[in-house]
This record gives sequence, C-alpha cells and structure tokens, in this order.
Amino acid sequence: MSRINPRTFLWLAALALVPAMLFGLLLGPITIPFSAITDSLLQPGLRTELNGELQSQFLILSQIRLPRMLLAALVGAGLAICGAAMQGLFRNPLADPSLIGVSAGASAGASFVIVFAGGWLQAGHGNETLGLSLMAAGAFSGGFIAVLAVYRLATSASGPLNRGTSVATMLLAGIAISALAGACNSALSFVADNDMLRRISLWQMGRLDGANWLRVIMAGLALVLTVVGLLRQSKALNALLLGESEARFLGIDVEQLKRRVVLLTALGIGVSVAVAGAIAFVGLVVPHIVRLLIGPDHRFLLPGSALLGALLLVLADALSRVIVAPAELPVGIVTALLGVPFFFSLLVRQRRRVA
Amino acid sequence: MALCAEGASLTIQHKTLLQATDVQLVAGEITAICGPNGAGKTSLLRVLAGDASLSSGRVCLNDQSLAHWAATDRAQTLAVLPQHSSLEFAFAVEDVVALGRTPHNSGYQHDSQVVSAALAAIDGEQLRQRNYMALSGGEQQRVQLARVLAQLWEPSPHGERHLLLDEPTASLDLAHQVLLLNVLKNFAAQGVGICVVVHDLNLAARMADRLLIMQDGSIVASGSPAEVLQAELIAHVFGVQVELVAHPKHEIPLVVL
Repeated sequence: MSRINPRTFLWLAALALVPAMLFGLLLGPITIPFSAITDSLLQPGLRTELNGELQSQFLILSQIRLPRMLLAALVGAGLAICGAAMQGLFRNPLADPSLIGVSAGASAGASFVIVFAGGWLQAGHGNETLGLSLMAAGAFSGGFIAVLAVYRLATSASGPLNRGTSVATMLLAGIAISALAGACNSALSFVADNDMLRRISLWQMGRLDGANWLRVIMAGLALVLTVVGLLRQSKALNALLLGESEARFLGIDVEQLKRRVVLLTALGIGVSVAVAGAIAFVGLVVPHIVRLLIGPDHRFLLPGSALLGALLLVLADALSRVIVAPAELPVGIVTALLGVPFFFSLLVRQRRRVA
Repeated sequence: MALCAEGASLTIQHKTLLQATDVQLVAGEITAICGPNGAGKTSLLRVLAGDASLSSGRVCLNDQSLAHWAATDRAQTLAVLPQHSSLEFAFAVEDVVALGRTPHNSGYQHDSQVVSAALAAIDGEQLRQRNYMALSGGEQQRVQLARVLAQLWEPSPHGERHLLLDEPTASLDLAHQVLLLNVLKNFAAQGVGICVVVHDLNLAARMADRLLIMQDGSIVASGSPAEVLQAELIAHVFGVQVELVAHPKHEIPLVVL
C-alpha cells in the first residue's frame, strides 16, 4: 500500500507545526516582524526602555496572539483526537462526536447558561473567570448528559446475545438526542432577549477571538487529560475495529473502553465548545485525512490526528484574521475552505487507486 | 483440563437456541460440530466462547468458571474465529494478524516473528503487505485464521489452549481446505483443544476425533465419526437419504448422495 511511514508522518506533522505557529503569531491586522519575537525574548531590557513600538508589539504578542494561537492548537488537537476516537468506537470512518449528541448537548448547555445566568453575569460586571467557568460547566454538563442518555438507551436496548452497547442503537439514540438538544437550543433562543441572542449566535459560529490566558489554561488542562487518556486506549481501539465480540476474545474490557472513550470525548468536546464555540469539520475530516495517509492504526492515528488538527486550526485562524482584515471570518468557514479541497483530492486519489 | 459446558441453555426472546447442553472439549482433540441450519451450532460456539449470557448452566475453562477468568488470561488461552468478520478499515494484512498478539506482552520483535510464522502456516506470506480490504473473501478468511493462530501461538501459562472456529472453510478452495485441515491437526498435536463448525460431513469426518450432530438446539449424536455417521441418523436430522461407503485409505465412512 502506498502510504507514508507513520513515524515519519508524526515527525513531519510536528515539524510543520513550528512554522505554522510562527505564522499564527506574526500574521494579523498588524503584521509583526520576526525580530520582535527574538528581541523581546532575548533582550528583555529593550522592552523597558521607551521603545513604544516594540512595547506594543510585545503586548499584542503576549496578550492576544500567543494565547489565541495556543488555544487554536489545543482546540484543534482536542477536536481531531476526539473525532478519531469516536470513529474507532463506532467502527465508522466518518462518524463524528456530534453523532452521539456531545456537540448538540454542549451547545444547549452553554445556551442555557447564557439565557438563565447571562443577566446575573452582566450584573456581576462581566467577571470573565466566573462567566467562562459557568459556560464551560454548562457545555460540559450538556454534552455529558446527552452522552449519558444515549449510552443508557443503547446499552439497555441490547439482547443477551449482544451483551453491552449496540452501535446501531447508539447512533440512532445519538440522532434523537441531538434533535432534542437542538429543540432546547431553539427554545432558549426563542425566549432570549436581543443581547443574549447575539451572544448565543456569535458563540455558535465558533470563534477564537475571545482567547485569553484563562481560556488557554482551562482548555490546556482539560485537553491534555483528554489526549493522554485517549492515547492510552489506542491498542484497545485497534482490537475493537474487528468487532465487539472479537475485541472481547482478545482480552479487551469493551465496556470499560467504551465508558472511557465516551467520558473523555465528552470532556474534550465540551471544553472545546465552551472556550471556542462550535467549530465543525475538524473532528470529522482530520482523522479521515490521517487515516488515508498512514492507515487506521490508532497508535499513530490518534497522535497524528491531534498534530494535524492543531496545525489546521492554527493556520485557519491566522488566515481568518487576514483574509478580510481588519474584520475577521469565523474560523469554522476557513477550516472548511482549507480542508475540503484536500479531503476531496485524497478521496479522488483513493478511488483511482481502487479502480 | 478442558473447555466444558454443563447444562448450558440459551434463550433469546422466548426462543430456545440451546437446550441444557453438556459438552466437553478435550485438549489435543478436534471436535467437529455438524447440523442443519439453525440447529444451534453457532449458539453453542458462542456459549463456549463466553459471548452469550446463559439462561442456565455454566461453562468452565480448565476447571475454572469462564466468567471468573481475567480477560487477558482468558484471551491467552481461548481464541475464537467468528463466521463473519466486520473489519472495514484498510489495515495491512500483517497488522490484522498482529492484532492477535494484543493479549500478549511479548514485544514487537517476537510478535513480528509470530505473525510471519502464522502467515506462513496459512500460505499467506505473499499477502503480508497487502491491504486487507482489497483481498478476496477466501483470503480474508485465511488472514483472520492466521490472526487467531497468532493469538494461541505459544503455550499459555494458564493451562491448555482452546480454539473455536465457526465455519472456517466456508469460502476456502479445495487446496486451502486441506491446508486448514493440516494446520488444525498440527495445532491439536501441540495440545490445543479445537472445536470447529463445518457443513461438509466428509471434511468433518476427516478432521475430527469426535463428531457432534446438532438438531433443534440439542446434541443428538456424539462420538467418533465412524460411530456417528449412520444413514438413519443423517436421514432423521437432515431429511436426506444418503449412502455410506468406506473410505479407500482411512477408517472413516464417506457420505455419498
């Protein structure tokens, strides 16, 4: 099979992340020269002098660009690795965390917080930490409740020959829960006032422009936990691709594996949704691209997806700032514009090879 | 040391798939299960594999209830080849076979040698780098067979090994059916207890030390192939009149239509 050696791919993706991150730091409505980074790092003395330009460049870098770039990398990695793990769990290469209701549930949870705690939050004079923590808690709870409901439905519906969770029932239940969460979301938008409505809709587009160090730290803690936790399941996920019974025959505790993947995915997606809104496409297509390039082995697919997800979102975010500068495109539009053509070309190449 | 079911029953949605069945698979022996469609052959195999919740009875592997085995220990001792494989990801063949090494912590180098040996055993060395999804049905079946062989390749620290196979010959050509026969005989000679569901009575008679005939969820005959294969029994179970002739070389009867 004409594929890239998985280890080579991981190295290449990690290496490519470095220039992409520099790109993300320097590009924007105000272009910052590379020397600003080296100067402010190597000669901190220069900053304290009356060097206004360098001072403002350093402020832009440290307070706006760096947290935003890091948030993009974290969210991209988290979304992509959660997508890859879900696709392994469902044994369907095009499955997506939104299928089992996490994204919809998380959105509904966050909208709930905006509508019912929004007024109180504003009265508290915009306490950023509290507001964001509440939003994150809302998104995580919403996603978690949705996944739990789907999981319960799917587990109880299976007969004695099919011990455990039926994947088909789980998908159907996920669709039902997504519809329910969507209805909740609409109902909340219906009762929301203009200001809340604007916040809900802005937030649902998926944006990274609210990045700050608080969000980076929150996302960082949650996503490191998700990534490390999922990487530890890679061998078990490989066995699961053979089928649930076959994985059991290979000594895998399938129920425990499912519980862990569902929980970790709820955490990863919930926190991503809370800090960056609903960014579509990354979790669906990045793992698929990686699978086409290096094959379905989760020991390489999971870290590969995380790296490529980070790369894609960092680049997309940098581009979203310059395409219509000084305004910004929602980053979800750019991820789609970047990823879809690449994805299509891979699909066409694969079809040609099979034919 | 054996894999045995004692009074095992399996009922699903008020339909009895298996009625209080006793069966004992002895290490080093090949047991073949034959019977008409829906007789409960696959159900019996699933019960022995611990993949179904019994309505009554129990299953023991090497004198310990199957439910009490640690998952990894069990996987080192008992392997199962299901009738259909649902793998739909484009693994390379060697990666599929290497999945059989999941319960072992024997290191990449050793696993790689086992994978080569297992592939050689099923005449699949030339498939090693191929895409599993691009193989024919028979090739996929052989690769899956190599996977369960790799799983039980060396003696288990937890007692005698057992291998359960559900219709492994279904899409194999004649040469590979004979190859499978020899592979299973080899494994049995190493002390592995083997239970195999087959439809071809003559193939079953040729490979089995013991033959079980199933009908309506029960075992209706059990014994050496020469004892079990009687024209009346076959007429009763399958509803087909057959002639039995002596095999020119082996001491087994041949079923002729």
